Amino acid sequence: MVADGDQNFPGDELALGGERAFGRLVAAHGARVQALARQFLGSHADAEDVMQEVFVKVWRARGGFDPSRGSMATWLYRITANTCLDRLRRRKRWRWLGLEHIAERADETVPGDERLEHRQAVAAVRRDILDLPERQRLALLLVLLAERSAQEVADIMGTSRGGAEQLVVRARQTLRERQRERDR
Amino acid sequence: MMNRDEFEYALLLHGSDLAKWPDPAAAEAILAKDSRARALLEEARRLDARMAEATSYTPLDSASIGQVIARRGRSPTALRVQVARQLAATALATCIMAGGFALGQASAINATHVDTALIALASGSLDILGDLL
Repeated sequence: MVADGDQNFPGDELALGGERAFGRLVAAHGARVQALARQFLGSHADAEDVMQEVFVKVWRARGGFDPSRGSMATWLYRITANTCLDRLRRRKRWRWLGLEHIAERADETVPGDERLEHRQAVAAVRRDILDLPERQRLALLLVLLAERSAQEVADIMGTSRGGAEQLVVRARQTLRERQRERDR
Repeated sequence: MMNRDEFEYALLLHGSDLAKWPDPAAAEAILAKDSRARALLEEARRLDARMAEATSYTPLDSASIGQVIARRGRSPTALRVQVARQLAATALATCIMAGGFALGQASAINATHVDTALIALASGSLDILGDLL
């Protein structure tokens, strides 16, 4: 599986400070990065912050991108994954300090013109994804939204290919069980 | 030859789109003769459709892309400082409103006690304020 913008992406051009290359990277992956953060964190507002933060980090670290260690997209999603995990840890600290009303900005926005039953089923799956353990959730979203292969998920998350596969399998297994319970 | 357990594992790993499987022919073979495998595939398709909808997104518009590009030079710390400033401004506004409310309550107090009330508010001493009220 290869996401748009993966092939022949001008990593060297970006490393040399190319604004056009940066713009292409944002256009190709910005929405995916934002969607991944939204599904991982359950908050639209946090997702916008994370997306901006990810691309600021990409721009500042562009000279350090090493193509021998993986594709530009893998590098980008590694930064995305780490930024999401950082944001989640910060939230937990806020919760510990009693500021959970600030930390918990989860939203459940869905288009208003969907049929109620269908909308509820989709919202339930969205909640189920949010309830998955952190690493399972991240691995699944990297496959679903970033369209990364198991090997790329392993590279991004710093685990083995088998480990990444296990995370995805367990995540889908849990979602399937939840669906079975609802459909009974 | 793929057995049902292997099929189920591959279904969880690769999803219900058989075109994305490394060996779709093996999947087709077991589907042709195993009704339980067909039911599992149908269930996975339903889940995948819901997951696709639950995680759907729209591409960034050109204005949003331009905004990200324009802000690329800002340090992540600067972004956090901006958020912290917004939180601090909100906290300050809340304090001012609470202070105004307390002063309104204190207006019934003897005017000579107003200075003491202000000092009590500034120092956060509820005991002194309680004595005045």
